[in-house]
Amino acid sequence: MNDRARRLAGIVVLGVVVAGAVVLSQDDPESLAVVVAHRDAPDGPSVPSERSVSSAWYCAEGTSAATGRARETVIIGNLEPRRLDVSMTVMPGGETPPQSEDYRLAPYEQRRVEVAGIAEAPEPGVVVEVFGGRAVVEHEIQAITDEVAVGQCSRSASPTWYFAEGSTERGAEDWLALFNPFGDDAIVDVTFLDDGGLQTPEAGQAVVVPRRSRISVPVHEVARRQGQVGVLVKARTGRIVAERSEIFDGTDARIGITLALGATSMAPRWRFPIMDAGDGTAESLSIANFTPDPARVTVRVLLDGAASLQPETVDLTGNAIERLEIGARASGSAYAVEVTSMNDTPIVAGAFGAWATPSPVAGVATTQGNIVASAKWAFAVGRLENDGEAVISALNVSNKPITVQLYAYTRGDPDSPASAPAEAVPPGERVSFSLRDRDVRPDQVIVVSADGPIVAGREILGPGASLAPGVPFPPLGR
Amino acid sequence: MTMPPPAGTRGAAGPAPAPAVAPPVVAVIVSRNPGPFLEQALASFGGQDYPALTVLVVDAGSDHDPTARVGVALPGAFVRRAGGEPGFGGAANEALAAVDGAAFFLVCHDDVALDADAVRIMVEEAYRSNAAIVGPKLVRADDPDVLLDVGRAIDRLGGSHTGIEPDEVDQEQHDSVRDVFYVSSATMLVRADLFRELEGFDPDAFPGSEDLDLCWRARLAGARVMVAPDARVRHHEAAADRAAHDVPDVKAVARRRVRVVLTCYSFATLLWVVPLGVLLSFVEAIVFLPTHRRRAAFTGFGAWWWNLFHLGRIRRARRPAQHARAIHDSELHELQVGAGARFGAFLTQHHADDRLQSLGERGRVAVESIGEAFRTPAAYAALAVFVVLLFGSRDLFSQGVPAVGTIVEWPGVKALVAELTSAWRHTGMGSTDAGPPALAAMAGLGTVLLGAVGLAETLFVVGSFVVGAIGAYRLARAVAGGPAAAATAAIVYVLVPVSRNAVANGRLGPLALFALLPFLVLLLVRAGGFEGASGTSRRPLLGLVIATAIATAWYPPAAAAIVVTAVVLLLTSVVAGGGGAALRALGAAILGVAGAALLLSPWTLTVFDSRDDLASLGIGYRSSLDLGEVVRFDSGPSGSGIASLGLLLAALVALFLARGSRLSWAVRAWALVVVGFALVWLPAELSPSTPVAAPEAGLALAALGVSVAVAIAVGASSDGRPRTRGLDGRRALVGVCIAGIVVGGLGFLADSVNGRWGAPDGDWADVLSFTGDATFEGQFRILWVGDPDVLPLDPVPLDDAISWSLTRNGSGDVRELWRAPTDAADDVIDRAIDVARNGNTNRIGRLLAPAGVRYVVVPLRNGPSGARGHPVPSVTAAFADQLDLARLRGEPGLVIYQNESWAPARAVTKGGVPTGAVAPLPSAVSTDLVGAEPLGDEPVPAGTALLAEAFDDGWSATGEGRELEHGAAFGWVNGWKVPAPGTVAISHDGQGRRYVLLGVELLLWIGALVWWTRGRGRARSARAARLRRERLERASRPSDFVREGEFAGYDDLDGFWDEQ
Repeated sequence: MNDRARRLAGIVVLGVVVAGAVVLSQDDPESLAVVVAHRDAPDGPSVPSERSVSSAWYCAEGTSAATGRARETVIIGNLEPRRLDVSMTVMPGGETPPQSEDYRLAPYEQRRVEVAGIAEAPEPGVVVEVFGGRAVVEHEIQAITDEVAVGQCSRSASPTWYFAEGSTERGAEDWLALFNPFGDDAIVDVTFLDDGGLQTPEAGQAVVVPRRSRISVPVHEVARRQGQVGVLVKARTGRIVAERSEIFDGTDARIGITLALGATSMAPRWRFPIMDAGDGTAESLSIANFTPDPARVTVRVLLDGAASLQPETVDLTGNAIERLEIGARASGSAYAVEVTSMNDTPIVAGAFGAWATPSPVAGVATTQGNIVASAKWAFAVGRLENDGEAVISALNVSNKPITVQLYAYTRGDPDSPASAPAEAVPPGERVSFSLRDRDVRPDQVIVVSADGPIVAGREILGPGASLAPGVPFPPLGR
Repeated sequence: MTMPPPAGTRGAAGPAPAPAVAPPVVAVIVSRNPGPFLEQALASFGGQDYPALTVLVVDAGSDHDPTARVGVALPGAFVRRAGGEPGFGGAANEALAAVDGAAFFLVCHDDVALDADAVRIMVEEAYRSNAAIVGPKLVRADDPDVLLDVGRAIDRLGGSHTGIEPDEVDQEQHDSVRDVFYVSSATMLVRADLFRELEGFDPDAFPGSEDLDLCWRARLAGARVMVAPDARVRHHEAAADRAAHDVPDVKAVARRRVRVVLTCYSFATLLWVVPLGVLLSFVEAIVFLPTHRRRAAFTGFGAWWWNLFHLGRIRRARRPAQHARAIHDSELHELQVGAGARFGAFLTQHHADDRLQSLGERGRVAVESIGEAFRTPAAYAALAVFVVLLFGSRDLFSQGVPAVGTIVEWPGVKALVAELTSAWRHTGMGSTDAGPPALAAMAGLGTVLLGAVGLAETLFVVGSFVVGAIGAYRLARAVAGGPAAAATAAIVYVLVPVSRNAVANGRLGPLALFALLPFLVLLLVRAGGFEGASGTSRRPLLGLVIATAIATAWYPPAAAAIVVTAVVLLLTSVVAGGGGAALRALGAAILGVAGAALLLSPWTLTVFDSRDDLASLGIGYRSSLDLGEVVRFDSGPSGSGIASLGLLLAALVALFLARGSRLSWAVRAWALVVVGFALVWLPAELSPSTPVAAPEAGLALAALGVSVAVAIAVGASSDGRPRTRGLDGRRALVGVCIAGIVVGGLGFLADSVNGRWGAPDGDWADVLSFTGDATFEGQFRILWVGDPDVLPLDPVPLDDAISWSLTRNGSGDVRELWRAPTDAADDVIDRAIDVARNGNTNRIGRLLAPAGVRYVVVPLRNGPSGARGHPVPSVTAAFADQLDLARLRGEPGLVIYQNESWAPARAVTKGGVPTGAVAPLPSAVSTDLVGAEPLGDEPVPAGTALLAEAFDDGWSATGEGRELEHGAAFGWVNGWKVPAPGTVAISHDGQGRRYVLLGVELLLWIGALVWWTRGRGRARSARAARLRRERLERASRPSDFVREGEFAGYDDLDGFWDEQ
């Protein structure tokens, strides 16, 4: 090959390589940032995966001192057909060191542990650690007037917590419990959202949550006499767990105690699988927009039997909160609610219920909505007492029919049978299981399972009233 | 005065008795195989006007007896023949035995001629100034108007300084009588009593330093040393005319000079003089390395080492010298010159001592050589690049190289050697794999610098630029033609930002590859027998083996780089020709790698174990550079923008200008460029999750291709086409080439402003220094988790975006580099992080406690103010959720957690721990090791002794003299039941085997080096002959372009760059 040919060949080959590279580079490669971004923190508590080595549950609200506002009992449900080791630690805060007790739970055992039995403290934070298997942990708080509220404990801490539902009207005490179970202090800002928009009172700024301790923020003293108060807790440093409880003293016929775990993120869609519009029941829905952008929100009430009401549209300006008296629209029936932000502005939604005569029970309850769906949901407890009632509902959020089954596990029985026959549920509808009708005992751990995505919740009536979402097994999506 | 009969033949009758007023002086002329100047010397003594002068000629072992000649020239002189090889000092000392009653000895060479009044003037001055030693003014014998010496000073390191310019005319400008540090032994008047008290010259100071030694010792004894310039002596400086075996060896001269320094300084002074001397001589060696005097470059450096290895002799010599000491060293400082004079001597040739061959003399030659070379634009450019390199590296010199990535701290020599020879490898969770041979190289560098390993690291980092440039020069010299082109290759290789980004990103391996790659390719070319290079022979092949071994020891992917290069050469043979040579080169590359594997054994076995853990070989990065970044060499903070594109453009010119073999090499060079780019870009484009080598490795290959191509363009620009007027295409291309280089140079210049080539202005080692202080609470590890680009050492990949690494008792050092491949114990760490990251535990502290992990660190940058890594929110969120990790306050960019469930890496816990075939994580998470006590020399309570190293049967422990029961604690680390309180000692039984393997490895290296060295002389002669031939051809070739064109004079660079 002479110089001319060699030069030509070299230049041509180089040109071809460059051209090929340019063409190839037009395709966007999979970026690492995308890979990383997929690993978000879970939204709300969930049952640990089968690969779990240990899991921790954080129960923020409740007291264990004799003069406390809400005596706390932790309910642990073993979801494994084998024994599990559990360690429960109460962090009294201050100079008092944490106190721990270890338990070994039999297969499918439900264990109730009074926090005061481990340590008496006015501000106890409770950590339940489960080693080597799956469990579900809830806690129950009891008001001085004996009404009870039950709600899930948190599986994770977060720097941000949102609450849509709450009020500081006369006769209501509104408490925000902030629990820092970690080894370094957290500093948080508490912001309130009421009819006047975002409020940042000085008392809520730079609040220190010392390491391994819990503090309570009396919302009713900071944001006085507000019909609706949304709360945003944002940590400057550290991560915390936030729960909110309200105590009603009977003014306006509302009496009892509520308990709700905050949401760690906003979302464009929230679901409430179990709502009650029975006699004597008043239920409302609070929708909070903590962003500066306006949100157009549609509220769909899903009545049992495929019926649904005309969707209601709510327009929220930025940093606004709105309450809808939703129970009045669905009077006399149990129902589900789906709240959707049509313009994708993320929102937070919560519900409030009050039961009074002629309802068989008197009480109040709040609940955060659900933003995830799963094929399997767990409850550490169903009914609280043998003559009480509890209903577990499952909303089919898929677009095809599914079957749903409820399991009530019996302590020490690895072969606990399904306690209810499978129910077929059309798309967009829900099924309810009365635990009293099915003779599910108060000491049984409950799992609702489906062959498609569902959202499950629980209503407890007696003593008091309680609404709470279930704890999903690893979620299938939103 | 009486003089006993000399041992040799006596001459004619003695001189007439001296008048009583004149103190008797005996001239001691030391002679050895004298030339015709002896008679002139004797005649001058005969003509002295001093009345009491006796002449004694001491023959220091001449081949022929000079007695007859002495008798003829100066009948009154005595002759004494000293037996053996006494040297100058030993011969002069004969006067002590042979002469009695003299007031002065006039010690002289045999090639001096004294003016008639010289002796008298010196004696008078001795009395007038109460001087013990007096020297004359020395002038050139054949031109007495030219000064040679009027007394001497020394610098702090013993370097001699006359203060006289070469060929300086004597205008009486130095004619003041004054104190000097010492006078030349060419002619030296010494008071006899002092001479006896000092026991004469130190024979061991021969050659070259007898005069300095004597005068220095005299000074220490409180005597004055003076010069009397009115006494004039002509000096033939006849050393060069003597027989070859009489010419002093340069090494011996340098060694004796250092010996005098070590003998005469006080111990306190030596504490700083010795390190300074070693350092400066090393720097001098580096400076002289590229000159003609390369062989002598390390003479000064070697002299220090030679003496430090002969401390027994030094000690014996010091004893009398220090015993007679009457003054402090500081009292002599005014007679010494400062450090600047040493540099001044280098630059201004203020030196006239031919015998000494010291720095000044070498400097003069070098300056001449450089001066000759620096008449050309390319040479100026090279000098400019070198100056900018030093300027741009200023912070690295002043503050050290920040510990970033794999450029981590080098510990002390002892620690390096200990790790190299240890039976247990202290990387990750530990391993029985052999330590990397690069530790030996580091220890060697540190030893050479007297333990200054920090300086060694800095020199390694900055020196990589220089070594790489030299390699590129030599490669281009072989394939691109003349020295101008080769110099251009060296410049361009430095201008390409690969090495700068390697420093900024903390990539030691790629930096080593950058430095050594040109040599590897050159050896490959030679081994293949390509045109323009030496043909195939054993030596290039052996050299390739050795070079590949060295490169691979520093950076395992280097072995692949050489094979890739060979394959590229083979593939391009389709277009460029030379298929046979390319095939041979490929064979040589394979043999080279195989040989290197042999030389690096048993570490090679470790490499073979890395099949499932390529990250342990440095192949653990996920390249994310896009095509634009790759072609701009934009892998770091340096060189972004169009600067690098300018160099690519310049390289492109080669394809258009080159002809013949140069065109072939241009094609090959561009193939290297393309393949280098492809190695970096294609994985990022096609499979971002595939682990690859750090991008600077592939880019080094491309950089070498670019530099060679640019060199070919420069070389081809002067190829013999007739020059035409006006702007033709060829001239335009040359202009493009020059413009491209200039643009690349501007990028280099801009990067130099930073002073550290973009490296962080600090490192995490500073931030984490508090952890080192915590070792008293027990040994521990730090777990680093995050983006592999910003993690130290060779991180273990967890998934596409996250890796981890372990360091011990602090932020880690180079002993933990080139880690052993991961094994089951490392996998536990892997799983623990994964479990935490996926929310499957809130007790990672307990999971890590058996490994002794006390701190968990997530770097978000590669150092304070360093480049940002990819964010790892899943890691920081997961760690923030851990109940037993407490976040500590630290620097921005570094998240530090303290493990509150930590247990020392050697500990005793009072309770039992799960042992045997237990699942590591579940067993660890339910076991609280808080409260475990560190295990040391003190007695410990009964319980379980834990050693946080991967479980291995080789570990054993004894308690109170009895073997303890060994088991796998938590299923993966070592545990022993301690039945009763007492001391526990832990050891590993593989040390003997390790020593044996190291011995075998050492023998292999010695054998290879000896074998390679045997052919070195012949190869050098052949190459020198070839270069001379080329030079002559060029000189005889008429070239209008060279005479008139822009590149005139490039060929003169031979003197500066080329190897002799």
